[in-house]
Amino acid sequence: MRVVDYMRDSLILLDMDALSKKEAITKTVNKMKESGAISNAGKFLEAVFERESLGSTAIGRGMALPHARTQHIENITIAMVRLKNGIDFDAADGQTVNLLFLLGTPLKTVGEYLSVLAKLSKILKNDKTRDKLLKAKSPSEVRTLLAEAES
Amino acid sequence: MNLSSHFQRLVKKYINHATGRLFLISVIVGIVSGVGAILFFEALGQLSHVVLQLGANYFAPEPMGEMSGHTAAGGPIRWWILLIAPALGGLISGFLVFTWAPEAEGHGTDAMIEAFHHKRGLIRKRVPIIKAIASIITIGTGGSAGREGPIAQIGAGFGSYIANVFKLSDEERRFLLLAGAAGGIGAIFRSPLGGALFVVEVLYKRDFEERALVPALISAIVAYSIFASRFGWGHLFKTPLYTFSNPVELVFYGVFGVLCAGIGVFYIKIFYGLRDRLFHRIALPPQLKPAIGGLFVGIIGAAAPFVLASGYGYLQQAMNGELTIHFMMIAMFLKILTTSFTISSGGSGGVFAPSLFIGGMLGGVFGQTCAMFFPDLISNPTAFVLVGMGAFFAGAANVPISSMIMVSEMTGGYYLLVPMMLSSSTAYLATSRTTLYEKQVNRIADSPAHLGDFTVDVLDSMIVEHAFHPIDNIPTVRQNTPLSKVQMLFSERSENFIPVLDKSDFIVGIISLRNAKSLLFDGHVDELFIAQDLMTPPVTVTPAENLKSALKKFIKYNYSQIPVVDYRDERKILGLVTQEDVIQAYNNEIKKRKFSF
Repeated sequence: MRVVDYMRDSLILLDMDALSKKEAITKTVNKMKESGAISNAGKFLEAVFERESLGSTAIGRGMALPHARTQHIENITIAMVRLKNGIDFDAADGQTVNLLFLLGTPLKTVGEYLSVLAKLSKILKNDKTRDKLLKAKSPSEVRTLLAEAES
Repeated sequence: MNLSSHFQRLVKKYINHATGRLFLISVIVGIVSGVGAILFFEALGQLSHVVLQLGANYFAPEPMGEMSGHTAAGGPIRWWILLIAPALGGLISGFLVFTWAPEAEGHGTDAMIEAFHHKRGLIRKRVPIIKAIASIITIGTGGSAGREGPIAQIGAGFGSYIANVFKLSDEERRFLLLAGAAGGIGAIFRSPLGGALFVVEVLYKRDFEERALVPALISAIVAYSIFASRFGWGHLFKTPLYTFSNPVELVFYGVFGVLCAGIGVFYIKIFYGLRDRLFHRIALPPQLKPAIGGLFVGIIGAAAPFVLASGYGYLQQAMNGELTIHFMMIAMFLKILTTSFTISSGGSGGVFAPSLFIGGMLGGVFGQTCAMFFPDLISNPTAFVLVGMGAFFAGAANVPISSMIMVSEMTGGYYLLVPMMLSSSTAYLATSRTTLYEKQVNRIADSPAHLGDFTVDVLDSMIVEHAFHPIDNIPTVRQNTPLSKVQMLFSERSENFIPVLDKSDFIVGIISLRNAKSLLFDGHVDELFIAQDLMTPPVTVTPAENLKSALKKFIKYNYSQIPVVDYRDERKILGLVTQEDVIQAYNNEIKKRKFSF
C-alpha cells in the first residue's frame, strides 16, 4: 500500500489556525472523529500526547509526524495538516513546524504501521516535495504530489 | 408426545453424547463378540469331534460344565492320527496366517496389546477371521493352545472395525478394541467380570487401563449373556465345596505362590526360547514352521494324549482328586513343551488355557505332596489345583486380579479367594518383569497410547517459577529508547524479544525482532522512532502458572519468549521464559521420572 492509500480528502486540512502543538493536534483528532476514522477521540488524543511526552515527533525542517496506536481505530489513517503559522514542536533543529502528518493505527498492525511511517518520513526528506506540499491548493493536489513522490 | 418419538429423541441424545455413544456401541460390540464366541466354540467343537474323537478315537475327558454328549466308541486310540494331525493342522494354519495375516503370528492377546499401544487400536479386518480359522484348525487338530487368544482377537478386531465405521477417535477405538476382547473372553470362559478386568490389566505389567473398564464390562455382560443363553449358565468347571478356615494354611499358599512364579518363569523361558533359538533359526518359509512344531506336538501327543488341545477334562479330574502326583507332574512338564511347540512355531492359539492346565497340575502336585507330610494342616489338597490355576497365570502374565476373578468365575470357587489372593500376589511379585505377553509395557507412562496426555500431564505439574530466566540476565529498554539502540541490542544479543519498561520499571510492551524487522534494516530510519513505536502489548505469564499454560501462549501468539511478571502486580517484570526453557524443563522432569520407576 502507498502512503496516499491511507489518506482521505476530508482529512487533508490545508491552512488550519492553531497556536500550539496541543491545539493543532486536538483539532486534527476532532476532525478524524467527525469523519468517522476513530471512535474515541479522547483516548486517541491521550495516546498521541503520551507518545509526544516520550520524545518529540518533529523530524526537522518544519515538519512533524505525531502518531499513536489505539484500539479505537479500525484501519491505519493519516491526516495531513498545514498550519497558517508555524508552532513550537520541540524540534531538534529548533525550527517551528507548519506541516503535520498525524498517524493513527490499530494495536495489532505493528509491521504495516512502521513501514508506512518509514515511507512517509523518507518522502518528506525531499525538500522539493515539502515545498510543493506547502504550496498545494487542494487535497487532490496533495494526493497527486505524494503519489508521485513515492513512485 | 408418543412413546416412539420420545424413544427416538432419547437415542439421538445418547448417540450425540460421547459417553452415551460409547455405551451403545459397547453393547453392539458385546453382541458381536458373543455371537462370535458361539460360532468359534461350535466350529472348534465340531472339528475336535471329527479329528480327535472320530478320527483318532481319542475321547478326552470333558469338564463338567462343557459336556459335548459324545460318548467313547470303545477300542484303542489310533495313535498315528494323533501323531500327524497336529502337523497337518500346523501346515494349514501356518499357510493361512503367514499368507494373509503375517502380522498376527503367535498368540492373539499379544496382537491385541500391540494394537492398543502401537497401532492406535487398529486391526485389519481380515486378521480376526484368519486367526479364528487358523486357531480352530490348530486346536481342533490337537495343538496345545487356548481359546482366549483367538476370541480376544475376534472381539478386538470387531471393536476396532466398528470404531472406524462410526469414525470415532483413536481413544474410543482403543476402548472398543478392549471392549470387544473383554466380550469374547467373558463369553467363552463364562467369566464376564474376569474378561473385563483381564483386558484392562493385561496391557501393563504394573498399571490398569481403568478408563476402558466400563465399556469392557458392558460388552462382557452382553456377550456372556448371549453365549450362556446358548450353552448354559453354569460354570465351566464343577468344583467340590472348598472352605478356608485355617490361617496356618496361608503359609503353604505363600510358598506355593513362589513355586508358581518359578515354574512360570521356566515356562516363559522354554516358550520364547524355542521360538527365538529354534523356530526363528530354521531356514524355511514361516508358513511351514507350525507344521514342524505340530510334528513335535504329535510325537508327544501320540504317547501322552492328555497334553493335547485344552486338557480341561484333566483339570476337572485333578480337582476331583482323581489323578496321581506322578501323572500330574508329567502332564505339567509335557504341557509346557506341547504349548511351546504349538505356539512358538507360529501356530495360532492362546496361552491362557495351557497356563490353567500347567498351574492346576502344579497345584495338584503341591497339594498332595504337602498333604502327605502335613495331613493335619492341609484340609483340601485339591484346593491347590484351583488356586494354582489362578496364581500361575497371575504371575506368568502379570494379571493378579483378573486371573483370580476368572478362575473364580470358571469354577464358582469363591470360597478360595483369600488363599488365591495370597498365592497370586506372591507369584505376581516374584515373577517381577518376566511376562508371557511380550507386548505388555511396564506402566501407562510407557505406552505410546498415552504419550500425548502424559506430555501434558508433566507440563501440567510443573510451574514457570522453576524454568525462567531472571530479569538481571536479559536486556530491556525504556519507552523512549531510540531505534538505533534497539537495533544494537538485537544485533548484539541472541534474544528475539526485548521487554519495554516505563519510568517506574513496569512492563508496558515487548518488541519482537519479527515485528520490528521492517525498520531495523531500513537505511532511512531516523530518530523519529523510539521503543514505544515498535512495541506490542505484552503477553505475560506469572511464576505460579503451569508450563502447559505457558506453552499454550507460545503457540497462540507465536512467541518464542514471554515475560514473567509478578502475580501481585502484573506490571512488575521478573524475567523471561523461552520455549527452550519449557522443553528443557520437560526433558529434565522425564529423566527424573524414568529413574524413579
